[in-house]
Amino acid sequence: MCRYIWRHVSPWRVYSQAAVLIFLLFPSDGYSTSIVAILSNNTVVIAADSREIISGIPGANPISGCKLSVVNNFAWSTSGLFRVFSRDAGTGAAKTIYDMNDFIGGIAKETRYSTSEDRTLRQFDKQRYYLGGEGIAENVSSDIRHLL
Amino acid sequence: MQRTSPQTFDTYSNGRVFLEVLLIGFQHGRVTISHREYGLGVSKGKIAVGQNDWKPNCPGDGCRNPQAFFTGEREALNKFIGLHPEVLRSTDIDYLRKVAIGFVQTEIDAAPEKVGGAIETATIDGNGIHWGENNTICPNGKQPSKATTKPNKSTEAKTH
Repeated sequence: MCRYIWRHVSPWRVYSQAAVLIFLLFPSDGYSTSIVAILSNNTVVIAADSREIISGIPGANPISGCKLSVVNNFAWSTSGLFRVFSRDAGTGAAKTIYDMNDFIGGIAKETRYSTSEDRTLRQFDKQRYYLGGEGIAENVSSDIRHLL
Repeated sequence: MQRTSPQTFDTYSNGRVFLEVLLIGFQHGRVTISHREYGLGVSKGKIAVGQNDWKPNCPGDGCRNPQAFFTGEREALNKFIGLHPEVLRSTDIDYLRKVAIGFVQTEIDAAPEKVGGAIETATIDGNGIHWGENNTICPNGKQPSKATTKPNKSTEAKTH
């Protein structure tokens, strides 16, 4: 499986073991958090508060407030963007189920074309459902649960 | 937003961080962390997304001192660690777990209007992810527990 992904996503670097993605959106708009990761001897310890909801991202429960998400396969490129991969149940092919390019692009697009008078950043923050795709997130979560 | 809320737009399009991502994974048995900050900028009338990236300078086994990554609210933590760097001189994982919880609690105490709630923990090593026993929200099904540990330089530094 790993070799298959390598062939299809190169030059993206694939991390096939357990991974954690922590998203923090708009830290200065009142939705805030504090997350600590400590690396020692090839082990990472993470602690995160649970003040706000982090949703619309793969693996995260939209209503839980859990800020730690686990995926089984993800990759990031030297350009600093990352993708989360799953495998197609029918063909076994690797498929991108989440792309940070789209995520960031969605933020920029929403920012550029926003016209609502009252679209504050707090409301903009709620657009996470669009940016990450609430429905997509549910499907992705299902995919990830299948993988784990 | 640029038209309707120019002040807000200016605030967030001036390189201010609007998104942080902490990625942790293993490749060939070696831990890899990437802490990224994304900020918005305006160039020739178009919005551009820039990023800063931090990675550990000593991944893998044999690193003498732990390295900490602070995401989100961290003003109090930066101040604390500047005054007491010795809290990160032990490589004992159980100790470091308490330190990590204590770090978050420090920010809760410093900015309770922004940081709070139960503290979730996880440990990642070559065998995968291990959720903290007291997690309330992350998927391990355990009961709530409010963390009260604070990093104590006098006691914890002596421990190791």
